[in-house]
Amino acid sequence: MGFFGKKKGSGSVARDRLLTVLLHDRVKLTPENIQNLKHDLCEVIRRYVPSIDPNSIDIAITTSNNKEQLETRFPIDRSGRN
Amino acid sequence: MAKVITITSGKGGVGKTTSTANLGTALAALGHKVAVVDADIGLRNLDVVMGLENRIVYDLVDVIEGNCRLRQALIKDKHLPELYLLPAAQTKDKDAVTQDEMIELVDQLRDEFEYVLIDCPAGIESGFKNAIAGADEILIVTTPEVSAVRDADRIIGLCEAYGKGQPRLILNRYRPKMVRNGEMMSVDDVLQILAIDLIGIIPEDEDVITSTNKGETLALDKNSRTGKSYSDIARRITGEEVPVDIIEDNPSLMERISNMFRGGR
Repeated sequence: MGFFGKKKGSGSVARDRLLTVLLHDRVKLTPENIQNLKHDLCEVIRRYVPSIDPNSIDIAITTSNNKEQLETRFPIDRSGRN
Repeated sequence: MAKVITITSGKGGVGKTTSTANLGTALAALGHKVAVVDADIGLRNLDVVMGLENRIVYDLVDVIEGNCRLRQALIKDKHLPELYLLPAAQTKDKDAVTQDEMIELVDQLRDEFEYVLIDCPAGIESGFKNAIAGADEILIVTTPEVSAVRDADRIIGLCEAYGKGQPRLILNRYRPKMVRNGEMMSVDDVLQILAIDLIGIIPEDEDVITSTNKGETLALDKNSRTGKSYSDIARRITGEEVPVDIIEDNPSLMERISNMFRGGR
């Protein structure tokens, strides 16, 4: 960790890598398919919500109440307001 | 009624055998009659970790093939009169045993013991299936690393597919200081990803190496933080409510000084 800025710790890098690997293992989604899925989803959403930032879509496996789910986040580009 | 518990992990080298030896010792130290079974046919290790390698006459495959009776193959522990080891065969390979034979063997052990702990081989092939075939409960050992947690995730899926219910997790080689510095996945990270219950956390501890070198287990060492962690897990196995606490990496200066005065390590 540097004195002037906070570097992202390797622990969260590990966590992110693990989530990606498990996405593949559990849902049989290859990294290429994930990219395609993101692309297709983005096209559909943008038809209705144009301010979606296509580069920041996030797909992950999450668990709530012991149930696994595929979770997708579409952050809205705030500069596109008004 | 005996309880049969298989200790597994998927990935090798994360602490299955060490955990089996320590949990067996800890359960026996609580006054239970315990058998630990080495199911890693062809790569026998549990005997060495427990310091019993020189006492082996018969092994698990001998019992299954009828070369000896079960009692003849059971080796009594050095310290605890109620702890026994059933060693794996070293010269056979893991196809020497079938699932039905393993279940039959486990059922024989149920009559004699309160707890039967089975040390599972690494991997997800026949050796793994044999080791979980007779189990009532499964404990998964993992370390906070991408590869180990990934394999644990696979094993959890397989345990559920084989109708074994949800396993509980032992998180091994945990380093709280690294977690605080953001350089290791935290207990919460691992639990959130695997979505199973935690049965205990074992700290990273050099003493595991020195004790294993000597063929001793830390579970009997009153001053060992790892030993205490295993004893706590043993108590949770028996159904006792023991809160999980995270043990710090290194003993404090005061602890080290008091250890010096005790003439200890």
